[in-house]
Amino acid sequence: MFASLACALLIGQSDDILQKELPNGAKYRIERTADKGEVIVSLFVSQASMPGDGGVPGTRHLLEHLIAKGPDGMLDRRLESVGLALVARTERDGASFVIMGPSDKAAIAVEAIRELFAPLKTSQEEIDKEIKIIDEEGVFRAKFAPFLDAAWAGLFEPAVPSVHGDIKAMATLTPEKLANSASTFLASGGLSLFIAGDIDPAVIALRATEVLSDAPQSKVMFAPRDVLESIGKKTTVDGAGNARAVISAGIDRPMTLARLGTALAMQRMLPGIIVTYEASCDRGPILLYADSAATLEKLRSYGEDDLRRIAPLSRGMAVMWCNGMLLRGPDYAVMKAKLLRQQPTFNLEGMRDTAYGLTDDEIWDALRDWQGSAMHIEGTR
Amino acid sequence: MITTLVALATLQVGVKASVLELPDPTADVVTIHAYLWRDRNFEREDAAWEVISHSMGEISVTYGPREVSFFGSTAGIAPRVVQAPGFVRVEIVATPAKWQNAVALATSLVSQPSWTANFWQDELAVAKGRVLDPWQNSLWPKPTFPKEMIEQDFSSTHARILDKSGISIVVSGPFERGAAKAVVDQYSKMWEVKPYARLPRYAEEGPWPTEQMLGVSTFELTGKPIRVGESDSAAKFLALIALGAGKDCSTWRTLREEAGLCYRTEGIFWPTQKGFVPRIFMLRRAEESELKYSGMMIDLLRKDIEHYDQITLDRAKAMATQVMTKPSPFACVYVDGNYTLYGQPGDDLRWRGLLYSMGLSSISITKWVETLNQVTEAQLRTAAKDLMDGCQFRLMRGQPSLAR
Repeated sequence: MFASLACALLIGQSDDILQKELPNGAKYRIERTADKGEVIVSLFVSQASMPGDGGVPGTRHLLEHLIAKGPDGMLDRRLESVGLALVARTERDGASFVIMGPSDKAAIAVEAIRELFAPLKTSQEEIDKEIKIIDEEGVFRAKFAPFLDAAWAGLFEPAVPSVHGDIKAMATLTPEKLANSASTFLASGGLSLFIAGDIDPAVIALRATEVLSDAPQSKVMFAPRDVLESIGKKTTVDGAGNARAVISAGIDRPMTLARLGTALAMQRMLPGIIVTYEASCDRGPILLYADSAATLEKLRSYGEDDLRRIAPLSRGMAVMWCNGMLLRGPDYAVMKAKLLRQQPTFNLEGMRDTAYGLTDDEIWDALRDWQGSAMHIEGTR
Repeated sequence: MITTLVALATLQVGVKASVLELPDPTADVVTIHAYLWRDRNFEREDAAWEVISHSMGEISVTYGPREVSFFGSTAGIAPRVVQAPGFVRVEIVATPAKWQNAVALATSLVSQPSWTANFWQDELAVAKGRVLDPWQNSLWPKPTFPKEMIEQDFSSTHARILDKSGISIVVSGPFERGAAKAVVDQYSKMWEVKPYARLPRYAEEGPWPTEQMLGVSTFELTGKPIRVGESDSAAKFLALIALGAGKDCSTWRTLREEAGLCYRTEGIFWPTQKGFVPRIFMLRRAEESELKYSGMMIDLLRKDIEHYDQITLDRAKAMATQVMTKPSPFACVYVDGNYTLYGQPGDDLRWRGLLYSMGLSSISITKWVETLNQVTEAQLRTAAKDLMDGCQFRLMRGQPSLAR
């Protein structure tokens, strides 16, 4: 254990923050914070460990559901009996497992991560039931989901598929196939672990190192997403409504916050608009969806004279979005773990100041993006 | 809408106000919560309430936007307005030097909204166009809006509610007992309740919708309000946690994991004037023949209660402590129509203010958690059975055609 610690590549260290990359490629960051008796542990599993879902759309999503139960299916009971809670999710960037609870149970929370690395043992019956639950989850996919899928498919090369999955394709997966996929999915080179709370970083670091050393040993190749030009790009999808999509470079760039803030201001000003964005420091689309094309056409009516009203509102909405992201909860923890992989030097906590400081010019440019250069997606229903 | 109302009330002077003072000499700031509660959630006022509650807080008859910004943000925190089907709450945090101004401001914002300048037209358009996801629509369904609404619909509805319910102010921070009440009395007596149109005698609370224009159907068990602090309330509270909070609760284990009936299931505490209403949800894909799932839901939960043991109790207590005091992904104690207790500054005041408005002893969160920890296994089992026995079932059916 100490040998591996000695071998670890030191990225950053202070009394309150420890950040390291282990020889197996896994990364961790541990922060001592002023939270009163709370701890949050977040494991991020990059999509790069299993690009294209290993050929069966939805495999990572299904694995996330199955792995989160723990090797004996009793992980939630063990955690919740001591006040801890585990939630999991799958996004385009990767899957995340977040555990929150009292800081005096931090060791249990970190040990629970080890359980996620246990070889996956499941039955066909359990797989079938979980696919049924994922099928039920599908009904909660918002009306904008096919439009968002179209944006990810049309704005990147290669296209980034939906993570929800193909129910029929998933039904072909067997316990053996999934066990192999789980080992690939949890490859150590694609893992990053974020821990924060009322804890001693040095003590927790020893345990985190041991736990991450238990992950399946494997390197992961990371490739940046290649972006296609959105100007003039139009497409249709089998869905009701209309949408515009612009590519954001990531939340570490002010223009991403400007585009988000402006879109959220439009959502506030134009009834019927919905904004969606998967927070990331990688490239991804921000989507502005509306039930009707007429609503989106109203975007064109705003000119520079309207900036007096739109700019403060956009700035305010960007700040509110940052406040939501910085609230101690799963979104925050997932982002912090993602950053270790995507942009380790970015100070997430400084994002709110960037939002406050957005200039009128940046907001005007963002509004122009929504008016003109965004990808247009039209529903055929 | 207003034309269907039958008479105008006589002019009344002075706003009824009740004040809960919670002096705390150790606090750095004074926190003020001002409530306007609806006397009853009359169906014909639902649409107006949606607009009223969302358009309050930016301006009043006495205070312009700049004064709201100045007196409302002396501690560097902007005023916050939250809504629920039964109340609106304005939250202001002030420095000890300016707290009286902030109390006066909060009192004015809920009792003296300025309808001419309150952008109610914008708010009406936003309210009509608001897109609710299945969960939001299950919690607080969108009302039906009349074809046309005019300013008088809002001003009259607000005045009627203000006259019937008055306002409720909760103040916490470093001040002398009696000082907050004096400020509220000083101002509320000066402000008049405007004339309003009476509601007809046959006005009723609206029936719960039976359909929603979504691909999701909402199956819900609604219990009797939990009167926090009264007899058996702690056991009832823990019973709902055991039934519906977390991933080792009855609904998640039985309805989702064992039966595979649904993806989303949850139990929540919903704030009403009568107490916290326990609500247990199962949201699933809409089908033509789906009534059978209601019976399955009830049967599975009843059977699971029979297996409640010490582990169930311990888990419920640990989970309750977390959802009451800390940020938790399973936060389920709603303190308005959108937000839950989440270990945030002001949560204790929100909790105590609600209890006060419910006519209950405004005990602190810490004290309540201590009370929850006294519940025994037998009390938990009995309370869970009672909760299920006293539940009403309601189904809001989705559209199968939208489920794919």
